[in-house]
Amino acid sequence: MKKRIRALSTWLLLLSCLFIQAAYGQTSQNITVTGQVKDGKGTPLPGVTVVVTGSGQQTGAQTDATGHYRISAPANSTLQFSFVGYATNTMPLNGRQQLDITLTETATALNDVIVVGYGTQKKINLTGAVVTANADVLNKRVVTSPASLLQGRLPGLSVTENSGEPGNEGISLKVRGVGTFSGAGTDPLVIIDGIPGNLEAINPNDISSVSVLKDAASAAIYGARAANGVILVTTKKGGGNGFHLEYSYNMGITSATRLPKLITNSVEYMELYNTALEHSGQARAYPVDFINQYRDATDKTKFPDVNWLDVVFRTVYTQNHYLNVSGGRNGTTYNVGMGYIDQPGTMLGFDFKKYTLQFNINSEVNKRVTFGANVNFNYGDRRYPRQGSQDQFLAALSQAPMYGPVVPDGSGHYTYRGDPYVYHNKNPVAIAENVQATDRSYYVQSNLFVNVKLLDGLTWETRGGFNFSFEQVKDFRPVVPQYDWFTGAFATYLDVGEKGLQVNNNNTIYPILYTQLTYDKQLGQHHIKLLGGAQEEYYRADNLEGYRRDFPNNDLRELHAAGTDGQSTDGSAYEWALRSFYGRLNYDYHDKYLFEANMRYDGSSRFANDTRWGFFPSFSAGWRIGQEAFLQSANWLDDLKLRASWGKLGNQNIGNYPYQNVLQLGANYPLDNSAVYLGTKRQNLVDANIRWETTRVFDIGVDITVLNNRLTLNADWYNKKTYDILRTAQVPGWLGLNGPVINGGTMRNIGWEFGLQYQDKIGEFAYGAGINFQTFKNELIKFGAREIDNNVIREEGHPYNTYYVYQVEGIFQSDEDIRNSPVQAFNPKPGDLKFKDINGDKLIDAKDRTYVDGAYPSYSYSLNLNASYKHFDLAAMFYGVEGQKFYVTGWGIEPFTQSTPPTEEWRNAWTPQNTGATLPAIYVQGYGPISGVASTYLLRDASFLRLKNVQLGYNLQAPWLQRAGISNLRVYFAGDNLFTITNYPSLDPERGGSGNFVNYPQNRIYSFGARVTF
Amino acid sequence: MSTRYITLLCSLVILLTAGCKSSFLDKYPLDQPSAENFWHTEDDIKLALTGCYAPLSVNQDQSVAEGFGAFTIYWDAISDNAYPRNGNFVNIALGQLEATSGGIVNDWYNLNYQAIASCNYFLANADKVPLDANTLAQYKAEVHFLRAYYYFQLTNIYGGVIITLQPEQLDYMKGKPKNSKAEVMNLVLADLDTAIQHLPDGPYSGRVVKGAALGFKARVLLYNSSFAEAAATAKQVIDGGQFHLYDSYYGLFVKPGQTNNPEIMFSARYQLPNMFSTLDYQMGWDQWERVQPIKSLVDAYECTDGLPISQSPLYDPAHPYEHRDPRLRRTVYVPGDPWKYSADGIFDPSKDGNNRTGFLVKKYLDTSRAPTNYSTRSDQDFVLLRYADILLMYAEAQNETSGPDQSVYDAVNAVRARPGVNMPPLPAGLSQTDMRQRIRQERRVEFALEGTRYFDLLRWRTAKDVLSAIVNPGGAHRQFLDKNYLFPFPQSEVDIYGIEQNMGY
Repeated sequence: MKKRIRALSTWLLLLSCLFIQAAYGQTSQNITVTGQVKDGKGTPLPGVTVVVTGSGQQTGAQTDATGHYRISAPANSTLQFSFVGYATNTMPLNGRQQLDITLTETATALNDVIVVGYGTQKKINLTGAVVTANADVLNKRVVTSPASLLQGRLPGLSVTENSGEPGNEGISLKVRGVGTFSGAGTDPLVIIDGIPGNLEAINPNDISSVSVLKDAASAAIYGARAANGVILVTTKKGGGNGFHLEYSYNMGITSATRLPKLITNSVEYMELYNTALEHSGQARAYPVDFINQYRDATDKTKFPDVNWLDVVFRTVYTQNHYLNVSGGRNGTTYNVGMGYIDQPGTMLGFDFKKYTLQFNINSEVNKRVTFGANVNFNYGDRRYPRQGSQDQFLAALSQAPMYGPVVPDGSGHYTYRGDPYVYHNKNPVAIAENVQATDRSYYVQSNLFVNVKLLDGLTWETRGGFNFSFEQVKDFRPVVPQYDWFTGAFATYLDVGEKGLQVNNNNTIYPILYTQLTYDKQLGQHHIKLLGGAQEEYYRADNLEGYRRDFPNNDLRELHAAGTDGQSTDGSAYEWALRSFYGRLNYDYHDKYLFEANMRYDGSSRFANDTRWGFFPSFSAGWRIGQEAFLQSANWLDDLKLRASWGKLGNQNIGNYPYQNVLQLGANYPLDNSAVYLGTKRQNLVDANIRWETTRVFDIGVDITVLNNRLTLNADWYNKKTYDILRTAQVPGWLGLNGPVINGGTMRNIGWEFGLQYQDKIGEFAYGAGINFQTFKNELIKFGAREIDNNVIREEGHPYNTYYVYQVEGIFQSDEDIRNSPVQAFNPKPGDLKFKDINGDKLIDAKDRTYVDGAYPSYSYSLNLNASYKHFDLAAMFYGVEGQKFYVTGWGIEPFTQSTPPTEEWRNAWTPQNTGATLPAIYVQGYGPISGVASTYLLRDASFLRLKNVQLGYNLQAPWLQRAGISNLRVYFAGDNLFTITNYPSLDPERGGSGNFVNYPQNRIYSFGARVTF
Repeated sequence: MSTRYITLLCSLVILLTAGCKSSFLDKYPLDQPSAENFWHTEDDIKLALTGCYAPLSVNQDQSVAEGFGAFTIYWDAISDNAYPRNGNFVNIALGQLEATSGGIVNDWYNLNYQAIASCNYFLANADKVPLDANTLAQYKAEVHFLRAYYYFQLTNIYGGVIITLQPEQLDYMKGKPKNSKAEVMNLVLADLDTAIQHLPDGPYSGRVVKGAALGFKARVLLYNSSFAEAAATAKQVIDGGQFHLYDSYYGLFVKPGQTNNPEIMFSARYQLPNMFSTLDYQMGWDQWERVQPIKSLVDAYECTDGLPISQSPLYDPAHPYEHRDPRLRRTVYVPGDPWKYSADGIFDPSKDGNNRTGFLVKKYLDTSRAPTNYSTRSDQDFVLLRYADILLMYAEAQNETSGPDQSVYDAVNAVRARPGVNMPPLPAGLSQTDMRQRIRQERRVEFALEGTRYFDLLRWRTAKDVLSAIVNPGGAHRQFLDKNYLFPFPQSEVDIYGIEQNMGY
């Protein structure tokens, strides 16, 4: 301990020395400089940032309303003048004390360079459908997961945050809809600094920019795995000369966005339950005298009205520290980011801590050779009730208000069922406090590159990356006694699943190497860029697990401590490899006519030798019509470009050995009294001729910039067709074998999307607004025999997984109403649901199920607003999804599911007196006439519009701060999910899909933060 | 200067090309044997043989096990013996037996055919292994028995089905016609005859023996109403003397009594610590209680004087469970029984939130394991054929063939006279019809919750009358239509393969 303190103080000392050095290092030679900053027309510019550079000293100032500034700087230093929308100007002082500056306006949007596959491209010369966002925009939100940042920022990319569970948000990224129904998956490929990586493993603060490659033209260079789009992430690099230190801190006050309002009055609960049981044809559960105990109770400790959601949900404080050091000297630049995120869950028992380290170095060895390295390290420590958030949530809902989590005798003992009459799920508090699983994960992604300028215009780049991950999950299930609520006597042990300790170790290694040549040549008006390269990657995953069951107590939580009886071990591994050749040709004439061709030739270990290789070409062209003479006179038009592209992409991500004829082990059986014998069986048919699944995308788009670069529009229409879908063949059951993986099936997504951005400035007041919009239509073109599940159908001519359910027409009002209506199963009573007779045969049966929309959103959209005035800035983002429906069941939506208290709206359910009700008569989940078949009753509209994020910031640049070495201090307030407009009942409509209604709700966060730049 | 880099580049390209061995892309499964490298040794035979037995005990994944192995008990839940609280069978108990019902309608079909595929794969390849003829014949005989067993399970439920006898290949859609029930029965009998010819004649300890094949053949013949042959085949087993009644009814259903048990002829087997089922907690734990016996079963047990409760002077409605056939209290938990899950240690259905029928399963539960929970591992073997069944099958077949002769009485009375059961013998002078009723009654109580009742009701064609009279918890009448004597084929089989659906579905 002492040693640690000493080490810590040494560091602190060092750090303070550093600051002092930075602040006071050269103040003795300072002179005071004054001057005025004007724009090209001679108008004074207020609010221009003036920074001293090139002296190791970081001081800054801003121009006042008349464009004047005053700054103290070393006589030999350089001043840098920067302002949004203007080119940054640097000017050496050379001892001058008066320095007037003119800033020229830039069309920054037009000169932007963005990251594309294996290179960069000027935005104006893009011919494919690529959207990009940089750190300024992304980091408006303060989040713990980088994927969250992308939501609403990039048209064409849908980001769904499935839950607010810390470290397990289950964020789904989809580029232009669901492209395939194969097991190949629909997740886009994520490339971090040129190498496939894991988005969740990096710190949001380390991101510099993100590009999404949406069409075949832009993504085909990643042919192999680009069918679902590609997300390119670039992490921060160091820059310039000097040394920059930045520290930011954020604290978020976090609570659940929406929770059901339950009926928590014990007497009302029991009476309603009895009513519901009676309606459902079951005996009343609660005797009158038991109810009366609560009605007449004066002792509210023993006879309480507990709201279990108050017990299980809480407001927590999320903390986020980030320290960044960057800079450069003599051609070498570096950037180091360290982050620590502490995120307790709003639900009891959840906790996540994430530590990140990003390190980047780039060095110009000489005029021709540059090399660099990039390392991201991530350590995550996640704790959660072992059966996960859904189970924890439903266990909480399943409790009755008549008792609390611990018995009322003051002993602190956990309660087992304060209600002897009906079944309730396990005590969620006892689970949260005793049965946490821990998931520790380590992730390293690293790469090293060498860039050599061989000849003028000819560059050779080689990059090798190595990703490594290790994850250990420890799931200890202790023995926890529980006690009777009324007597305080021991009742039984907590249901923790099978007792004991399960340890799972998973590790992966993933080396990647590519080498490529680029040739860039301007010949008069012809500009040619060529790229060719080769890549190899290999992936191996290993798993090892062990289990023992009889531990002497709950404190020893390592396998060694337990007896060996009933122990088990398991372990496995798999691997795959890819080899690829790729190339690109860019050609433009006069910066007006643009053409690009890409190709990729991929070989995959997942296919047999003969069908292993796939060729994925793409072509795209652009016409910068705005550059044509006939439009040069249009002053309002800054740029206008038409784009079109066509190309093919591949997908091979199905199983690891899908073509190989293997036998399955594990069909074991005790053939005698001595042992269990190992058994094997043939489980699958295989088709050795399977080949790549192919996605063909046709895209046309337009980019317009008008009104002096104030208004920009990027819009795309696409037709994306996936064919030869790799899927398990539909086979008849009598084969007794699983179907082979085959190429069969076609799916199409047609859609369009646009981003519209307006940005302007009136004096010191700058403001902007943007809209992103996306929509698509999914259709199964070729599938085979239709497949019907509980509430969805997969059938040609319809969207994949279209809802297919009975339609609720109303509520039966009387026996006569029932007699006069088509015959329904389960002998309905007044108050039950009346289904629509779709085929008119006076009988409600499976033939009356019908297609209902809502499997995919009609559209999703976001609205971004920003404004700044002097030192203040404000940004807000609204995010909405329209037309999405989810089929949700069970706890929280169907009354008395495992005795879950109904929500308050059930007070207004149908009764013979309340015939106008929209809810049927109160019932117990499982009651045939209401929950016996899948109907529109539980298919709920999950459209929503929410204020996803708002941030108000203030940048402080006072002289006294500069004296302390602080060039900028930013303080801000931010809010996440502050309000939501939706018709969805009780819980958060933003979720991954249909299923159990219970779902860890999103977080509402009020956060306060500060960022100091030295 | 630049030449240096060009040299470097060239060497790297050469390096990469040299590394371009195609083996980089040849990856093989690391934890599964290749089918091409199999069928060389006796060990391979044993692996594959075990794989043919394994479906009997599919159990660890409780979602597909119902009806099989540890959960044969579920078949009673759709008979007049019990009610399923949830799971694969609940829709059927609620009267929803449709092609799209899912659950057991699909599982029974798929699981049996998967087992058959394993048997076919074995039979088509076993000859490749150099082994002496007798040993090989015995292995194959076991598999013939198992294939017969699985086909019999299919045909009982679906009637005529597709017969497949070879390992299927990619050309499966070329099509096989649906075979008639008679053709399936012939296949089953032929497989059994092959088995009987080559199986060893000895006691049962896990692998199929000749007596089991004979006994099972008797069952097939009986289901097929070939009474004379059935009686003769059962007689062969009785005369063979390898098996006899065990003297503890309880012991038949818990592991200590089951090991080398003289009565058990064939069973779905488990072996602790790692090959176990979840039976004890799924049936016994108050959080599950997945199958619950109903009053109809409880009322079927006679009083100790051999009279039904409607006639016996010993029956006291105030103490309805006193003076009853001892098998009742060893099969069913009745109110007032000691019970480890309540505060006062007594079973009281009104204070058991999961209980819908007033009773709980006791047969097969190892009561020494209570209170159970998820840590409880069950190893009880599930008896698929036992000697008492041979006796009652013989009695039934013989009564149908030549009326209630003394051998019929002897067989039934032997079952009733088991030590600890000690029920009085049947009264003399029963007519053939009376005897038929007595035997059916005896089968119901002797084999209650063992998964045979539903199939008995089907083959006697009494299911419609009996089941339509059952009232489910909640008050609805159970539904059994004429078409329900057969299950529908799963809808997917119609959609994908176009199999001719059973009548009425």
